[in-house]
Amino acid sequence: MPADIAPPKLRSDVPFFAGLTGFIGLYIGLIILLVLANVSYISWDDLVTAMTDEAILSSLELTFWTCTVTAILSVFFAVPIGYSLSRFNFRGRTLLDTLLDIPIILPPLVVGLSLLILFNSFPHRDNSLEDWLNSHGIFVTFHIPAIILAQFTVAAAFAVRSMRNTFDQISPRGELVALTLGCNRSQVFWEVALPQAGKGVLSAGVLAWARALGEFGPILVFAGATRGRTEVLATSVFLEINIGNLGGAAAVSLILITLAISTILIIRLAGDRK
Amino acid sequence: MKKSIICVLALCGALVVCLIALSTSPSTQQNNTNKGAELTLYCAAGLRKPVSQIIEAYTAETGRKVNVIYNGSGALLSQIKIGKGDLYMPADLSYIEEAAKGGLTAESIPTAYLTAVIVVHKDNTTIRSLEDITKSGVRISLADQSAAVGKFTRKVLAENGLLNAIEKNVTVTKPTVNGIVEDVSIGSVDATIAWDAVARNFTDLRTIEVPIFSAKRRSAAVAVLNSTRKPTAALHLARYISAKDKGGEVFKRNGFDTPEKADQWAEIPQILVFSGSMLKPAIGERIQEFEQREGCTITTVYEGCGTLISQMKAGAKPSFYFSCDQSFLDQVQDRFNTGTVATTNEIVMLVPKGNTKSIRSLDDLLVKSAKVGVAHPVKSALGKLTEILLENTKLLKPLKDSGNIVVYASKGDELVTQMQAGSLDVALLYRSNALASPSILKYCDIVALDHPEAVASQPFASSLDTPYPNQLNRLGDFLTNAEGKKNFLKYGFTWEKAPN
Repeated sequence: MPADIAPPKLRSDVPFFAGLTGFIGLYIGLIILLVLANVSYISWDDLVTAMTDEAILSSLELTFWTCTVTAILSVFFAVPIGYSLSRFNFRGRTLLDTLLDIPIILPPLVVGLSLLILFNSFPHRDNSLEDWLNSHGIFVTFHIPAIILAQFTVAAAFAVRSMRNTFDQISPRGELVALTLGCNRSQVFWEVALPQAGKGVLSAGVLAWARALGEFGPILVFAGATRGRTEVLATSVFLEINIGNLGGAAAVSLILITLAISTILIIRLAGDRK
Repeated sequence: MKKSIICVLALCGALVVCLIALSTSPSTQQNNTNKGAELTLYCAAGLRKPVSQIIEAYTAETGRKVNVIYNGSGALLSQIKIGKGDLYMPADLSYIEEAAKGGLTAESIPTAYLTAVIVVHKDNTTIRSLEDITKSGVRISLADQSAAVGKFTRKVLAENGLLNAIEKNVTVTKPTVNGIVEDVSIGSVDATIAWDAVARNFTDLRTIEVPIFSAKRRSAAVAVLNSTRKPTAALHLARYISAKDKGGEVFKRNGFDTPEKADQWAEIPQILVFSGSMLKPAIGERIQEFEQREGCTITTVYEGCGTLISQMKAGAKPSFYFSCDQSFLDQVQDRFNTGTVATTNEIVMLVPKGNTKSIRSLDDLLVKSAKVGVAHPVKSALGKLTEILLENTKLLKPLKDSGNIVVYASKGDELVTQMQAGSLDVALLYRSNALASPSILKYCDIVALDHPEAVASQPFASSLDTPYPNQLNRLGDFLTNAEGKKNFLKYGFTWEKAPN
């Protein structure tokens, strides 16, 4: 509401803020209760066991590094793709847009299954991509690259969406002006568009990172869950539940939550400081 | 521009740091050593607890690395259809049967038993039997048909006419056995029907035995996949998992019942096989193939069955005996499991090409100055059967009196050699003895007797006290499966054993 038009009669803002607080309170309350419920299920022993378990610790480390690789790779892909979708009108743009939705709408297990088929039965079971890679000393299926690939497939799609929104919200005016002043497309991108999209890049990265952290369906199928080797935290939780160790599962969840919150918080704070 | 490029470079730097961190982490280093030699085991997620302990011990003990893929049994089956691997270990044998039907698995070894029980919270005192969970107001979780336990319980309940009464109380259906047990633990349902070993992981739960379920225990097993490129290494691990003093103990510790009949662990099992010499051409090569596949050492003694029996009576302890005739196995039956008859073999007369002496029936053996060769009645099954045959056709005494018998050979193949050397006019031997010599039909003709008593049946059996009962079962299967059968048929045996 523009500030220069004074309302005819000043009514109290209390109901409005009460409403806002109510919604915030309910949802935040739900989230906090979820975390508390999780914590209440953990005994001290479970937590100590989880925190000192070599396998959990290596899975923690593996999770952190793979998510970070995935997030950076996703950003590298999301920026040019998001920029193209936002700025250029080209033939097949709608089709491209729809194709980019596939990793988002597919159930995660299907992504894993498709990756598994792609690498192991395509074009033929006895002459697959994985066989070819193996003969060159590269192992993907059931190894660490499979984790990153599974995370990246899904996370990049989210990052692309986020980058596209970012560029959509930045007025192209500045870029057009730069063009008329004699900049070429590359200069416009590097010197005008990208600097304005800084925060958007950061949030796309965070989104991809968080998405990768929670991913477990495709990883379970495509990378497996070998203790100490391809087990990430999300699969640890699933597997702990599967052997009926609910306390352990909750303890690992708590580690997962802590890792997620602290990383995202650090990135956000660093971004804000800039 | 500068700032943007600095950011990109910084991100690239971060990427490199991450990749270095990943490649130097202990997990990757483990991965990099000997990737080709690593085994892949597809294991039911419900068996994870014992299996991860077993694998850890296995790697510590043998230095061999194993990559384990945990998932639901059925989901693993889909993964196996697409990917490659070495072993499959579902929670229920039915999945292996299904996989075997699709040609996905080869050998399988039982590892543990699972019994379905009612599971309730330990403070619950109202539920004591199946009848109690049909009462109104009781909330039950049940496993989905896709889970082994769901398929099994529904089938048994339906057979006993109880399914409808129980289904009306089912408030939730889940795809894994752990899911339905957790529901009881969390308190979202009152009871469920699940595997006992799974429920025993929960200290806050109590299990109730149900006679109709206990009568039908289900077994979990580990199977070798046909897509494996390392069958010997895969079997090494499969033997370790199922060995009673290795994997078996871990299963027991984790609350599973284990099979009474399980192999002892040995890095390289030593097996002594006694076999009638008539069987050598049919099984000799197969035994070597088995030895290579299983990574065991087999010492084989081929002799006339009578000789083998006396060796056993003198103290030899073969763990596997493939007998020329049932009558010989009968003599040592107290040491062996019930035999499986694989083939029958017919006694025939072998005569020189053209049959110059016109020997066409047993009666013709009495022809003046015919030189007859038979097998020794005590040393070999062939000799004994020949004697019975002659006795029953009332020819034994006349033949002995005629002095026509010039040779008592200890084995049938000796008679073949003598026929080839031209020292006999006729020899009574197995059709397989004759056909085992590749050139025999150039020099000799076979005269069939078509007599019901002229048939020997060949059973094989494993010894009662062998430390490797499962491996010997596999040996028996290996010798007489479709591939093994070809060898028998090639040497003139008649097939008797029903397909597996």
